Amino acid sequence: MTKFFLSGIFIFLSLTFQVFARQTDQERVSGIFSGLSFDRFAKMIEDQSAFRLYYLSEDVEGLVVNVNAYESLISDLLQEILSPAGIYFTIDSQHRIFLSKERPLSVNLRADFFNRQKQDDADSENTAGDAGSKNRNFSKNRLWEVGDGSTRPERANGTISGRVTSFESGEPIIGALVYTSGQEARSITDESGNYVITLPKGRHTLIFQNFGAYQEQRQINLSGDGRLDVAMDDNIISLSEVTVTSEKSANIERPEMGLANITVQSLKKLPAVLGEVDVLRAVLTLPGVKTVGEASAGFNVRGGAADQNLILYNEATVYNPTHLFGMFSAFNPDMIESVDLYKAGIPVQFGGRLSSVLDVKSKFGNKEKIQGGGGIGLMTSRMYVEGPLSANTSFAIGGRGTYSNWLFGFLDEDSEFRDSRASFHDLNLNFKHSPDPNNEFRLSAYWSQDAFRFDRDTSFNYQNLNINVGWTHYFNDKLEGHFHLGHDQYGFGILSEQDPLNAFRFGFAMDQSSWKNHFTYELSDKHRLSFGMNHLFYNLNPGKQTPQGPESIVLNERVNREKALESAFYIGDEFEVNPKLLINYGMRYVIYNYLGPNSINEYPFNSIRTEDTKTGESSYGAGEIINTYHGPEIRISARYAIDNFTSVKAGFNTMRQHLHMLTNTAAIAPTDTWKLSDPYLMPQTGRQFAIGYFKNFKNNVIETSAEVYYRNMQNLVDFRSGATLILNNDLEQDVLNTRGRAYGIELMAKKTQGKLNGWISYTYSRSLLQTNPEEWGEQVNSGKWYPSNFDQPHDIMLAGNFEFTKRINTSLNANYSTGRPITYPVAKFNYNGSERVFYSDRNAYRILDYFRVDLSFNIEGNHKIRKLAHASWSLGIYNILGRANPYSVYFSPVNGNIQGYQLSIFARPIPFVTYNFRF
Amino acid sequence: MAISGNITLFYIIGILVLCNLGCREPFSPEISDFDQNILVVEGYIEVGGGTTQIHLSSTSSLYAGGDAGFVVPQAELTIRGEREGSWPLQQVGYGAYEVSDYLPEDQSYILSINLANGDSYRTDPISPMRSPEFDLSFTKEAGDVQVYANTRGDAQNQYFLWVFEETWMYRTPHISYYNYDETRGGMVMIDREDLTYLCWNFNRSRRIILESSARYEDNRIFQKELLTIDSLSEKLGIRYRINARQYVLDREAYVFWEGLRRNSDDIGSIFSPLPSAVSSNIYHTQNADIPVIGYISAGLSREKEMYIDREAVSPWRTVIADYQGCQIDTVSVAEYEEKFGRGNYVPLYEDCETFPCSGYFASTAGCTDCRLRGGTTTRPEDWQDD
Repeated sequence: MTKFFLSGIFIFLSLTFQVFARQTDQERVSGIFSGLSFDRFAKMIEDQSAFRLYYLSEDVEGLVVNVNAYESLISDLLQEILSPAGIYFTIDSQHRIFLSKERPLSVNLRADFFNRQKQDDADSENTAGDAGSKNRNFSKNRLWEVGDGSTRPERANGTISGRVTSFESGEPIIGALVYTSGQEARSITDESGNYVITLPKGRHTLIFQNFGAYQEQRQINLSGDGRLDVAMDDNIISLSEVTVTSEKSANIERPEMGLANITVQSLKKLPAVLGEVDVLRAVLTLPGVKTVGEASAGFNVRGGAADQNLILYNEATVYNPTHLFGMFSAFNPDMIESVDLYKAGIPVQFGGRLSSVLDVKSKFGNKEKIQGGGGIGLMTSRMYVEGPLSANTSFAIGGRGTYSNWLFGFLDEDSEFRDSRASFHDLNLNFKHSPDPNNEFRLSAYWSQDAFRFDRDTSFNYQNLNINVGWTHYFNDKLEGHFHLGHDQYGFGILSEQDPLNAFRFGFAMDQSSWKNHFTYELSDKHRLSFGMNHLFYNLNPGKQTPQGPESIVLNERVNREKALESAFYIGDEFEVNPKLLINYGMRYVIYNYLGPNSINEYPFNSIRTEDTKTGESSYGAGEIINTYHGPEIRISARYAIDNFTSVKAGFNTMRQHLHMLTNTAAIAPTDTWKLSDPYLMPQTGRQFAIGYFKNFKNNVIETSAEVYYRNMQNLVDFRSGATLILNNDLEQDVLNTRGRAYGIELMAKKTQGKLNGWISYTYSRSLLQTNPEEWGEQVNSGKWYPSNFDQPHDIMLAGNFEFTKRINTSLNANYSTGRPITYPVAKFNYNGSERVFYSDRNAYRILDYFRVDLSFNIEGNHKIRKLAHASWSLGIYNILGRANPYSVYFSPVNGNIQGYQLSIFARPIPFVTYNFRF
Repeated sequence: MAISGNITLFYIIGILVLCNLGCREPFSPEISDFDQNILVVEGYIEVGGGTTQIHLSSTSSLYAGGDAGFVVPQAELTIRGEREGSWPLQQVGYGAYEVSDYLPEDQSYILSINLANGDSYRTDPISPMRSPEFDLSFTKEAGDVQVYANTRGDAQNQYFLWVFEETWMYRTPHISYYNYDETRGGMVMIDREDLTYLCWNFNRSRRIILESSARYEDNRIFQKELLTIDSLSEKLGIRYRINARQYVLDREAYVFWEGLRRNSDDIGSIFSPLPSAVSSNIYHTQNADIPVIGYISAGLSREKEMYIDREAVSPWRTVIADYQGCQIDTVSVAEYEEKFGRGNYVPLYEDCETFPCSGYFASTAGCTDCRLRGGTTTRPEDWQDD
């Protein structure tokens, strides 16, 4: 039956084809085209008619159009303009005009073409699916029937849904734009490659545009709701093609603001520090993202503390995303599929942190063939393998390790680091199983471990362990659901054996179990709902000290275990009011229960909390609710498109955070512990207002944006001077309730194509803190507002790529920022036999400004897609100017006299060379 | 199935990278002039008959040459008992004030300070705390000698501070038994008690040594390191003494000392804490915003002394860098004027290896006079020989 039906279509098609072809070149156009460039002329033609022109801009360079037309045949008009320039043109049935220089293009097919195609189609059971690799050119021109016209014939529109995947790897293509000419409707593929688009019934040319990659198109005849899956190239370097287009690009189109997407390609172009492509370093090149120093594990987004970033790796929370004191990120670059950083407009399904969400997704393996890769370096090695296990199952596995210890042996005999040892490993294992198009199961496991010691007797280690399973189910064309069950662990330990009597072991551990379900539902053409819930169960062991060895007299000490359940219910709606105005709004309601067993100190109401004012303790049994915090989080963002190249976006969101990192260092140290909100430590809350203006020039080749934001934050955690943060069961006595505010403007200009591409951004931002005036304890800086540790007002980032040829390209990174605030000593005095220093108000001074330039070259082998070996070199220099950017300035008594020191992390140019080959 | 792989070789100058942990260089940031001279008060109110000493000084500019701190002259200091008594302190030196009267152990005290410029300060009431006894011990490990304090706190007395003074003997490589008398052109034998080959030198603790006994079983602090004497140190060359004093602190005082310690020892490495604002229990009586540095505690401190002889740590080799180039020359009679008169040679003893004696063995003052290295030939009053 199906076969017969198909044959019918093709007979119909072959009949109509001729007719269309004859008709289209008979269409007429009018207008005065005087002194126009051909580009301009082409745009005018496209505006007033259904014609679309395809040509190479070199071919029409310098061509000036000078014609008057009144109801002229398009063919005559083009003949008049183009023939003097020796350019041929061809018009096909789809109102497409192809220009070519040497000879006219043929739009007719070989006589036996459809017979062959019918045979191929007969092999495929999927009527609307992609016909496979053999006939890809055909796929573009064949007419695809979508939908069944007999159901709901009264409707004027049909909805097409489907999935865009990589032709090479079978992986979903994310963020591809799906549109058709002459219609406002468009869609962007989501993280699973899915798209949904509603169009009037009838003939359309659906175009699938993956930015920076290939374009695919499908001729469709839409007669009702249906499905169309497409496979497209994702990484073949396409010759530069120019299409005259008036389509809006993603930065204009997408409603979210403050979203930065880093592609793996651009990640690989950034100069690497130690020859390792690094996600966290790439994130730091984005406007609004800062770090206090080069060896710091954390990053600061829009004036927020480092613990306010939710770092997700395949939906698992990673608490310590770095290796080796922050020098490497904990993500294996070979395994990464995509990186998204949300600075504002955080989607409603995410929550739990105040500042940002860094969503890192890794590969689940391609479905075509087993592939692998790896690297061997002086300090690290890595390896990954991916591919299909069966027709429906694929896997990806990757691991890394170091053997850097031998390097320490080269240090001076008396270097304090000669006895140091450092090593790390990580392992990532992913499986995906799709038994049918409506179901997909995923399993992802991640493990990372670091161990180091600074001297012979004290060693330190930390590890992340994450495992989660996910299930995506397409209930029908409108409703899809994601179900997720996961368990995350993070912990660190210290072992000191310097002296058998005082030998101890200290451990911190936390784990969280999560259950999430997330649904998206196409309510109508204009409304797309997301809703669901998240449940997180936290279980913290905030600190435990045990004696090590039989001789040790160190006490067994432990801070009470902490447990809490954080539940969030959310609903959001993407409402397309009209093609110009798109509003994304939603609410998330968060309920946090702090659970027993635990014992809570009691203090008189409204009094300073110290050891002396403590009135007693109350105990709670297992599972008993000690206290509850709850409240809504509001997420609104809207986009108004002024025209196809300009839009204004605005957003407002509020966030709540119940998990706090306890730190009183400027940088995130691997020994920082975490603490849950309890009756005294209230959840951090924050709100952000942001507004942005986005404008593209030169057919979206140049994207510019300006974003302004203002944030305020409550219940931030600071500490009284001299507070002990570890093994402290009475932490509420040392906490200073602090509030913060941050504001800034981020300007960015980006050139997306051409030999020279890249971006330049300038950020002006402030981040200020103030001890809550109601705080009974200390008032930092006498209760005045003071700059936070990461308040760096001016920041300029330049990331440029220049392609000398297709095979050689060079990239340059330059970064300038104001030095971070620091507390300097301002006077000295004698005390206890030595000179000491008296410190200024907190953060009253700044270290020197930061400036660094990195350069790298990538030299590719030839570009044949299929060949035995593929080789490339990448070489470069990190910090090419060798500027000793200070990380910190400190003062220390040396023989009883005060001496100032400046500490730099990478004070010299660091060259690197990488050789890659693949076979 | 296509086989494919990727081998990447990184070539990096790895050693350069390792400098990341140690790339520090001297640096003097520009600090806008901080013109406040902040009063610095240091001392301990000793109850139960000991001597109370309070030192007053003030802060100075970070880059001011010489010693930090100006002495604050002419102040009136008084200790008042909460229940009874008032004890004025006597000035005993620049900025140093003392009282040796018996202060009862069972009441709180307030120290008040009136400066000559009219500013006046006073402390919070301070309750005395009685330190438990402690003892000193040492071990020798990997060539170094560690000196420890051992004590036992209880639920009330958990925070301890130690200070110490060291005294040790050292010897010059050569002994000068004669002085050259220029006017007479002859040698004068030096009296035995005026010989300069044997000195005592002193040092005091500069680090802040603190410990909390709450961490340990039965509040027992075992082997809290006071200092390490590095191998080859001259301190253990002959005989060494450490005189340590143990104070017990309350929690606030401990926080003060811990803040001071962290601000001195812990600042500036990669994962160091931010500088602490250091609290005080001393306030300006008119304007509480005027800062004061210092924390005064009261109580009964304990003192302990320990001697370490070279034999106790043998084998102990001593290398004194100043004495590395010391040699013996011979100076003939004809050269006396040139070498001993104008040069810096000093005679050791007569060179009688051939008969008749041909002149004097000689060395430099630096190799024969131990006082040039800061020591004194005067035997400390309480020094005990073994």
